[in-house]
Amino acid sequence: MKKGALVLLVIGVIIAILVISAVGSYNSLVAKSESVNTALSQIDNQLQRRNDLIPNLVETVKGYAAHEEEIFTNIAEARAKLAGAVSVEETASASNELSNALSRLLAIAENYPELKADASFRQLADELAGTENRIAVARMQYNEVARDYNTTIRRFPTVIIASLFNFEKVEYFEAAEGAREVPKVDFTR
Amino acid sequence: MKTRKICAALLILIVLLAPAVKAHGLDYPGHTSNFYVNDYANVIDASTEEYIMNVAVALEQKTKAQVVVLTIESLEGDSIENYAYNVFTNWGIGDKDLNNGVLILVAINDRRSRIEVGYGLEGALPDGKTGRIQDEYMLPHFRANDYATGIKKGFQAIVNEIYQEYGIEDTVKVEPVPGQRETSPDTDNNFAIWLIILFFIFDWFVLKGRITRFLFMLFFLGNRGGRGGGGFGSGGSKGGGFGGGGFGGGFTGGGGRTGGGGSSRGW
Repeated sequence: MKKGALVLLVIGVIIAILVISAVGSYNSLVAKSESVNTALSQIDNQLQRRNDLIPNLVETVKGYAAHEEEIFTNIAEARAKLAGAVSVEETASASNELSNALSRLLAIAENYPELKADASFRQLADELAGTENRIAVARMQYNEVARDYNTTIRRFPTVIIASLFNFEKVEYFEAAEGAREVPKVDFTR
Repeated sequence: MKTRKICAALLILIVLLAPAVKAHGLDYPGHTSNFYVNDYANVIDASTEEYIMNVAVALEQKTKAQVVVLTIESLEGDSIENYAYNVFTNWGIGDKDLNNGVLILVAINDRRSRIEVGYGLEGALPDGKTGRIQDEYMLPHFRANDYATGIKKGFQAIVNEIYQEYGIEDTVKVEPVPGQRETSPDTDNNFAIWLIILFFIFDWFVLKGRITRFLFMLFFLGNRGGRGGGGFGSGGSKGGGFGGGGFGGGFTGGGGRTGGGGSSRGW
């Protein structure tokens, strides 16, 4: 009788420990998945910020170089693509494309000294370059927490909780190929 | 006996399964004990260094904002944006909650500079303004190989923007027009030193040195205990001056962060 009670007690303790650790890992999964969402919305903020800068920048450049139509079309197309992107990977690709188009826009300033000297162009170019850098930082931070989260949901024993409650793997914010390309504003010459 | 062995085995297993501590990339330099001036490229003269130090410490006392100067010879292939971000983050420039730090990074051999702005100062120092500060105050001097003057002027401009942001009247004197001769920039500084000397004379003759002894004690007590993340012991900085290079752990970052704001230039 006494022995039976002891066994029951041990089993009870083990179950209690299991439940507590399950609750603990569930909660930590929730927290991690939430920080993935936060990091992703940080990227969205910066993408939006860049999007808001583009019309002004394009207008300013058009004032000096209206005939560079190809670049303006490229930018418009890339913007449309980005607006239509759904998944994280699509967004990353479209964002990269837009970055490249914008860096070409900044680069043509080399051929237009007056544009390059224009105070509002310089300011907009700085804001754009800064925002591109912020996107890069936000992307890095997102990928970090996403990696952490993805690792956690695959690690034993968290994997049990993760599959039980449908915690799914998240995509990284990475374009298919092409390294990070921040448009360089070079006001040197 | 058997249970103990099982317990031990379990313990070992748990230790083995514990996630390995991630090693952090440590290619970036650490800060000097002066924290605000890190002249690794050796381009800033001693008096400018001391001036920057004094102004930066005063700024930190009044606003908790930290403006840090870093000169390096080479980025070693890294982009200046990446370099600045990593140094800023590693050092924790600015207050932990206010995130009001600024890093002025100058890479001499790469001929590139960057002003990196913490989250909390993006309003006071938008990217366009940091670009303008470099264009107007820094690059003209850099092109003439006068790094000390360029850094000092850029530093002053940034400090004034921060004072303005916090609504503090007393600003640093900046000579905005590049290339002009300076008109004794250290008057503020001298005035402060005279005040301190007067204070000590007053203390010695009227109070028989009570305050001096108190500060002295504070200084040594402060040195014994390790200093926390934000700022520095009040006694230490008043008594000594900063030339000697760091007593009692010196100055450190407050744990501020950046989101990558700011702008870069080449010359």
